[in-house]
Amino acid sequence: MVLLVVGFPLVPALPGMFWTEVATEILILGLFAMSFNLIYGYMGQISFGHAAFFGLGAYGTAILFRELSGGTGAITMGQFFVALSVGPPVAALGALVVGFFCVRLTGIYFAILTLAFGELLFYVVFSWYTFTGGDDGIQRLLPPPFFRDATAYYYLTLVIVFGAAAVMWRITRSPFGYVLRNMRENQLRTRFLGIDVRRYMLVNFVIAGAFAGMAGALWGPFTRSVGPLLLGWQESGIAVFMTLIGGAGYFAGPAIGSIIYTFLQAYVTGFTVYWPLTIGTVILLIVLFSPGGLLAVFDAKVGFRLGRTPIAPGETPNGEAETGAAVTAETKAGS
Amino acid sequence: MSMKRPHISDHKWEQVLKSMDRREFIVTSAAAGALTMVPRFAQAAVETYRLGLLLPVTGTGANYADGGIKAVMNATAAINAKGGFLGKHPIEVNYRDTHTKPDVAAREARDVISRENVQTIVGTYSSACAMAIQEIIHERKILHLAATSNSSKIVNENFTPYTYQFCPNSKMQSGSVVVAVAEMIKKNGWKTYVTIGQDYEWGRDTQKGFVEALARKSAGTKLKKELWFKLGETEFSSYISAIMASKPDFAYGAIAGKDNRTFIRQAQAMGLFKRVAYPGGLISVTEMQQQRKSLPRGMIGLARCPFFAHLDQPLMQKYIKMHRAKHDAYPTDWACMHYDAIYGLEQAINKTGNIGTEAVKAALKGATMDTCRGKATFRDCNNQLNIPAGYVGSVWDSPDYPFPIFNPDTMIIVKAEEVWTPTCDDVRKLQKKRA
Repeated sequence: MVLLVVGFPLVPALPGMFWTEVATEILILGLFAMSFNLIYGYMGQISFGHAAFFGLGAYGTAILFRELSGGTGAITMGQFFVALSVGPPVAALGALVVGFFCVRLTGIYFAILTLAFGELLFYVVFSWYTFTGGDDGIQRLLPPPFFRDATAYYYLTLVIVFGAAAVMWRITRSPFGYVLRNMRENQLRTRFLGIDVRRYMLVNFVIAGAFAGMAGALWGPFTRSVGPLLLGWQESGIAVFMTLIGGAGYFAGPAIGSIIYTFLQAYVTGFTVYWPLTIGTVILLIVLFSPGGLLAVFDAKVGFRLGRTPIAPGETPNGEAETGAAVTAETKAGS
Repeated sequence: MSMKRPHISDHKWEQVLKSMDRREFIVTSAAAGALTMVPRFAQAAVETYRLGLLLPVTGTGANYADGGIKAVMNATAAINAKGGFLGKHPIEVNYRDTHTKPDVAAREARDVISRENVQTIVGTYSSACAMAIQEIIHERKILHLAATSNSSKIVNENFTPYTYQFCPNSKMQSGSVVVAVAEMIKKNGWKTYVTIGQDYEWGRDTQKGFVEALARKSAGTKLKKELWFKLGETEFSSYISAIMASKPDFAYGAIAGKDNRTFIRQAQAMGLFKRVAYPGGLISVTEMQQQRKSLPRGMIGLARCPFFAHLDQPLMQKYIKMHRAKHDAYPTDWACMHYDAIYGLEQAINKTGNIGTEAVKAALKGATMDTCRGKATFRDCNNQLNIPAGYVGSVWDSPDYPFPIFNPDTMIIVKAEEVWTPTCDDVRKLQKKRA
């Protein structure tokens, strides 16, 4: 974590613009993956539709951007921040509606329902030509002149993402966060304690959606355009991949996953078109040999905590958890 | 010692694409990875011209992109054999797969510009991809040669002076179909029609262009139904049934890529073409070659750059010869348009005498150049090349080729000026101001 905090601000010192842009992508997608991990790693449910909130945040910002700039891309600093600030609430609202239905289910049913809602939202955006631009998406999302510079936009992203990560860290360490972990281990026991499980799940779902929306809001001005695929299941898969690579049982796991995934993508696509094969191989190796993610291996060897979620109540003395994919992974690595 | 990182242009494309087994992939990747760790030293005295090639080898556009990749590789290899542009600037091609997805295209465009310092980007099969990267190339002042992406928005609403369009835009293309269809309406007394199209930028724009142009040309012909399907659709039976249930006099399809092949196959199997006339769907040389046996003879189709229509052009003759020698096949429309783009770039560089982007851009502005489709000139107000807007003809078995072509006796070649946005004032009204 210390390495991340110290290393990221130094990236623009590297020669050329390329690595600064890659680092910006790492930060934005890292935030997206960390928001996903609030649902997967902390709540114990897997969402295959999380990109819907990333996309809603991106579109919320992009549509306001388009209206404020009159389609020319010329936007003032004040308007830019207003447009950016719209992404999280739009995504949170979407998450509230979707979550209302999804939290009634758990496990595979929860996963399938999130996928179904994600695809539904994708089709709405894809088909609503007059409002969202359909398949074309929305172009000309040019930040104000100061933030067009890759370094300036990078530092803006850095501040927002680190701020969001700090808030998420606090949430996961709060009583609310501990209730989430409790629910992850045993919903029935949590309910017996008098906790309204559905309500907690819904609140967490909305919080995760809002942070995904924040990542989406940053994405549009970074790429200068948004498209409906940002809401698609493949985009959701990126958050899943990053979390699996880094380790779902660690707060910093998705961020580490984002660094590895994005760096690898930037590196591999430079000399081969076989990126899907490469990432497929990486995921396969991780699932087979380090199901807790790379941080679990590192943790087991070096013993750093790296924001690992505390030992869960469902764990047995030999280090195996009763339920929860994330916990199983982390305890195996830790045993 | 300077070591150069391997580029896609260093390989035979087919070998990269098809002949790589798992072991070879791992070894190649490891070797390439190791090489990239070595700093890239400036190549003394030789200034390389870096070209970004953005085309899909995955997604619905992959069906056509193969021709484009071959053409760019062939053309750059031929130019490099003479020492490169101006005889002293060898071309380095940096290829990226766009997956036919706009966000991937934007990412890869940024990548080749920032990392590889490309001066020009060629390709972007999908119009949505082209529009996504226009934002980036405009800001970074990089040339963009839209060889096959043909939404009219690329040169109108989304215009940037850094984009040059080497293919007929969608409005021109659908306008050319209307010219042919209007004659058939008159001859057959058709009253109603339905449309089916790919639900994305090109499909929407092409359908809209067709419907509007037909309304002007034949006001009495009514549109009964519009059908839209997602890119990459594999099951068309419900759409085909819906067309037949509407009982139109004819159907118009705005379909390209793998989807076009799938649709034609399924429509033929379900007997659509026997019950409903289907004039003006895209039947490029790719479809003629890939469906040489099954393509219904007599079907009226549209092509964008069919080699057989310009056998008298020296550049086309040269390219056919080169393409056949390398691939033992005739070039597709998509190869032809990409070949024109690279040779267009070379002619502009020759004209200006240097490879600076602004100088080349200025040389391309309003330039008249040799193309496989004859001499053509860029329109001043939107950088649209005035190559033929469309080739409308009926599928016919030629004794000269192992696949059908359009019957040359009845093929209509529609001039750009007949169907493009009439005046530059009209074009400028469409163009949105950029910040």
